[in-house]
Amino acid sequence: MARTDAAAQTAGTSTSGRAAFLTELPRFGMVGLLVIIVVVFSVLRPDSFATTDNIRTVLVESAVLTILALAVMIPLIANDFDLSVAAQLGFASILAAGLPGKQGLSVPLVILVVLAVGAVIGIIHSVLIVMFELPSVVVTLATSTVLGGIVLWYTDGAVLYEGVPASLTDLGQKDVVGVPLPIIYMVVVAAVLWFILERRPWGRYLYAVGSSPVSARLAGVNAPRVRATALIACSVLAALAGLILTARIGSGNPSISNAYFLPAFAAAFLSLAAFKLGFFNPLGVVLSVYLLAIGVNGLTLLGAPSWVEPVFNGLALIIAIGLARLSVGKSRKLFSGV
Amino acid sequence: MPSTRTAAIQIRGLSKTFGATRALSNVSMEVAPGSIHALIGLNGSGKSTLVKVLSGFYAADEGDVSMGEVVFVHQDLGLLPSLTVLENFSIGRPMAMRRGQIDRRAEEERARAALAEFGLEHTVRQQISSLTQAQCAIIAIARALDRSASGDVAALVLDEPTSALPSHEIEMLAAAMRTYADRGIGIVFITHRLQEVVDLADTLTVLRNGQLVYSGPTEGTSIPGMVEMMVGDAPTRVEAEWTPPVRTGEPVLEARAIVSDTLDRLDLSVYSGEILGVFGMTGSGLETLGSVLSGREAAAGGTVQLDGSPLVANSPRVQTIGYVPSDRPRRGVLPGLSVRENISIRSLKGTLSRGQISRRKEVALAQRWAEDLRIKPSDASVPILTLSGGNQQKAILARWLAVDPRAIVAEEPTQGIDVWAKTEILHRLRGAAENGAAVLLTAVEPEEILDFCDRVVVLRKGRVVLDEQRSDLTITDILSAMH
Ligand SMILES: Nc1ncnc2c1ncn2[C@@H]1O[C@H](COP(=O)(O)OP(=O)(O)OP(=O)(O)O)[C@@H](O)[C@H]1O
Ligand SMILES: [Mg+2]
Repeated sequence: MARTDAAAQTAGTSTSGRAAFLTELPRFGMVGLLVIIVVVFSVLRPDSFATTDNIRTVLVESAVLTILALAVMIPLIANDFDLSVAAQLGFASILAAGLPGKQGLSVPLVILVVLAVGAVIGIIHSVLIVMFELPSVVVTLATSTVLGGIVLWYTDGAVLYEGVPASLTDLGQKDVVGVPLPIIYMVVVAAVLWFILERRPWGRYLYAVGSSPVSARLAGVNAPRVRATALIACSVLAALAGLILTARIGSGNPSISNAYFLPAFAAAFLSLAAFKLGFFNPLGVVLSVYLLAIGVNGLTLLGAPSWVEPVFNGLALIIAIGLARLSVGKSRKLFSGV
Repeated sequence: MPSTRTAAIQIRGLSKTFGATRALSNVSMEVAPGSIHALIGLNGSGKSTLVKVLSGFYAADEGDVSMGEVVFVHQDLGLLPSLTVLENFSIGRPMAMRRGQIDRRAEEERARAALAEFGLEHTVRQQISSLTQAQCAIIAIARALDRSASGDVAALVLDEPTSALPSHEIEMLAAAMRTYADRGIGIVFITHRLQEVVDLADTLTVLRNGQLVYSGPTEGTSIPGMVEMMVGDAPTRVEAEWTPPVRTGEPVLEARAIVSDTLDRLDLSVYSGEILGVFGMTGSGLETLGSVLSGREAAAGGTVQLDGSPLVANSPRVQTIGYVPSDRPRRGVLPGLSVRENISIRSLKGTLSRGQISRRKEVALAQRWAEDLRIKPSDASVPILTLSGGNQQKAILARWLAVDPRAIVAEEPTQGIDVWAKTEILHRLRGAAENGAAVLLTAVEPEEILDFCDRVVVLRKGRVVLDEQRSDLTITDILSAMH
């Protein structure tokens, strides 16, 4: 009897398409919000907001931020914070401008060195956070400050714009079949991450470690290795973002990283409320970055002063966490085992 | 107020649904003051849901409840692992104060007194996370009893208080329950051990699929009768016959002179094809044996050998050893993930097709195990935490049964699992052994699994004090070796 009941139950859920639709709906709430925002701004500012130029600008401007937010997201899945991503982006960007300009390195070598430096920072983080079990927040706060100091030393606080080769800036400014390269990089990074997180065992292990490090370890997941890989991947992606930034703007600015810190975290946390509810996820991150960017862009076109942007991003972060709690908090907070 | 009430707890027409699951439908029951009332039913029949509606954790869809002050011990015990026993005692009730400060001495005295009944007063300053599952269960119960001793508590509700307890502790608990019942408190307890119902309960309620099947005196019912009420007309499975294996060759898992805080130069071997039952009281070393032998925890001294070569704790090789920890909520389930993801976490490599996890294969695998082990609901896409306790336990066992591991080390494998599914699971473990796995099961209560063991080992004070074929032993031999 229990078995037939259970069968009827599953049949019941799959046949009542309406109920299924309603439970699926919250996953796409943010997509709906994006559509609404776009429609509203298009109506309010038809000749400045709803133009291909403006759309192209928003997309390109946010490509670097998206890659950075995707980087932040990876260790966050396993509950490790990398607060130094913005500093790493700034550091990589300075290196990408300075190594060819000051040290005269060739472009392929510059790319290699910048990414390798990213990997080394990630390895240092892994050793401190995973091997010595130091709190990630403290460790990355410290490395963030150290990197900021090194940047000051290397640049004397001045913008590096001399000697950035055209073959590097081409990589950030050219189009391929009409699509700006930074957008292509971003799409590739997001797609690869999605594949690894959703379709490869490693991704599942990372989510398992995030759900309970102890249970995951006892289930035979090599939790330390998974966490270390996540931290290294984060740093390499942050370096990549810095590289693309320099390629796009053609210079290295020692104070540019500040503007990236909060929006990257806001987008990562907002992803909790989109698609894979309650879990950090790459598609959610991409959507969130553009939701924030389009919101800010529209407000600016409506004549909002520049202080609106940080306020908007900060509030969005709080709303993101609230939404995530509402939509999924429950199934995780249920008394376990009762 | 209590004088106007005739029943300690009175429930009328209670219903509760979760999505498509009807966890309770139109349940009515009554608990008389001073009586001990057992609540039984198969896994997922709605027992815990009923308790959680009473405690106010869930709002009922329909029906009403009238009761005085009631104290609860939930299935997950509700202790805070990072705090000490004393702090867990003090939290959530008014503390003894002295000159504007918490009177630590009075608080400690009170906790010690409550724990003394169970011989656990020495744990009062220890952290919960350093204690065994059985000790935690006792502490949660002692805390609840302590609260019901003060003021005018009408009833005490215990959700599976005995599932992790050895028999002598169950006896202590039973004695305490009787004492409190004699003071006029109504006691409700949930259990899967039907002998306890016969021994302890004055009255009995049976749930099946959220419906009330019986509520009345225990007298006149029998254990087979209870099983029939719980199971209804569900098909029973034909139980396969098995012959005890002939042990051959080298051991799969071997402990050599293992030393830890509770193990004292322990030697132990488990062979391919056999089910070894290891029993011991709390403090015998049983609680560390499983995690050390399965390579999950490094021992302070000695070596563990897997197929003849030393096993390094937490190295990739431990993945070939299944481990089912006794502390399911904190160490077994991957909360937040679905039943499917909980089952398939070790089988992902096998579901790869062209480099990616095949959703179809993964769903099929999880679905098959959910049905085979009678996990309810059998839809494996739901979050694991929405399952009842026993059904979560089945999912954790399925995780390892699904991969044909070299060895399985399962602590309290049948905890929280109903009589009906228990045989099924033990048969699956037998199947794993027949496929060549070495199976080691531990239990603080031998009777739970004894019939399925080929060989029995008893631990006392961290050493093996008995190691014999099961057929040569009686339960009395085992119990006297344990004590
Ligand atoms: N929060 C929830 N969301 C969805 N379904 C739930 C939830 N809580 C319980 N259920 C379902 O309600 C049914 C009854 O569960 P309950 O926990 O009351 O069972 P139980 O009788 O205590 O079983 P066990 O003996 O295994 O502890 C189960 O099918 C369970 O999956
Ligand atoms: Mg239950």
